[in-house]
Amino acid sequence: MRLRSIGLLCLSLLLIGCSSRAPLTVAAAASMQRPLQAIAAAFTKQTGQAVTLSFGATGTLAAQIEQGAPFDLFLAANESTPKQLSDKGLLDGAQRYATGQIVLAVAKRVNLSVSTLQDLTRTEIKRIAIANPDQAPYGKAAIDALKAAGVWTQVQSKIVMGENIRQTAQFVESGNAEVGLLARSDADSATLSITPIPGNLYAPIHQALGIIKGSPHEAVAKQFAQFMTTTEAKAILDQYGFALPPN
Amino acid sequence: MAPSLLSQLLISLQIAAGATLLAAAIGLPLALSLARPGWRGRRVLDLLVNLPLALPPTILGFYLLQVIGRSGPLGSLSLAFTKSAAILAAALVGLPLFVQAARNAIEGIPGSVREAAQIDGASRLAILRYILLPLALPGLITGLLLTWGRSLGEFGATLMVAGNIPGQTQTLAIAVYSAVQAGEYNRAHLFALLLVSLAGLTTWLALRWRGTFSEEMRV
Repeated sequence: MRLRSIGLLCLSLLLIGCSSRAPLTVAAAASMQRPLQAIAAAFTKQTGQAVTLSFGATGTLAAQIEQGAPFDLFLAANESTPKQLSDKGLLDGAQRYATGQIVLAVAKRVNLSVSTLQDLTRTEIKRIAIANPDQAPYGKAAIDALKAAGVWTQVQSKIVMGENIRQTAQFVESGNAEVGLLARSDADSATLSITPIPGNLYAPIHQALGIIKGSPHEAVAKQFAQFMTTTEAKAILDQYGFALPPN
Repeated sequence: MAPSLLSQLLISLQIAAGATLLAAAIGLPLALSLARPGWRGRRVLDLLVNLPLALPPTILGFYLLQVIGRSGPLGSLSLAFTKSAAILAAALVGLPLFVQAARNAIEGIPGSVREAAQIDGASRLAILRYILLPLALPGLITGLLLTWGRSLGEFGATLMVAGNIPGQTQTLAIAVYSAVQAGEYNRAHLFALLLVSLAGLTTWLALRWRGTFSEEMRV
């Protein structure tokens, strides 16, 4: 009982601390965490509108939206999930806001020089980390690139899969896999040597957003979706390793 | 509007406390029935109670969301994506732990003790109140502790049914996950350290409390 009243007290303090307008709740793919925190801060600074960010796996967030989660805007790590939700009448369209890229990454501590996908066939490379292609579009792009480079059959037995792109990056950062095909946004140049993978080897990884149908903050959600296309937001996306969507 | 550490801490405590109470309230009658041998459906009930141990929490959370979500049979209660949903999820995950501990404690009481009370004319309620519960108390406290610890660390099912909403349903355990996803390992370590200290401190206190009861028992 006492705990509850302490909780209520703190909750009300929190609410008082907020601006008078209810915060906009944005559900976003976990891989968008760093750029989106910066973009939301810029949006709040410009408009005075508070933003609550809720991160999770794209599939989990979609399941939650289907069950009526109190989100206003959904930023997915792909384009197909927002399209599916839009087809079900749960989302108001799907607008591209960023395009992901994959890179070849080697942990600096491993001390191997790898500059092309062809190098992956070398015997000193025992493990190659990619994201699970069933769940992560970056994993699918990685396999496409390995196939297009003509090395898939030779390297297939070396593949280890991370549950998501972040876990895949951890495999490489920790040196458990010598090499990884990671999202550019997730590859930290402080610990990894990074080589870009030519964009013509895989289909572009478009990411789309959509406003949740029936959101009580539809106008503000639209404003945020609009903000994602400004030069300010695009500069932040670029800084965190996302290419900008073609107009 | 960065969610403060305090809010995550309080949310974690609220959810763990709520879940422990709920699991105990549901678990005690279950443990009493399961401790009584020879009735139809006992095996099935046993199996159902223990199911959450075998199911990965994410999957348990997914099905719970189908039940309490907007289009589920309990959708009209609007439980999903609130603290109540998190409490429900954590209680469900902790239930088998409480029931197992409580049941073992109750089964450990010699049948002769109960029979003697019966012969002396004690009602069933009196037997429960003055014989079973006091004798089973150390075991019940163990059950509460296990549920409390499990609830504090609950992540998979909670994330599914309550979401990761800062200031509302983001617990310390979920904050660790979020920080790792963002590659902010220092923040993750801080949250994890806090979570471990909290679990350690509460468990230590409860064990001391339980210890005093066990000593009384031995006298």
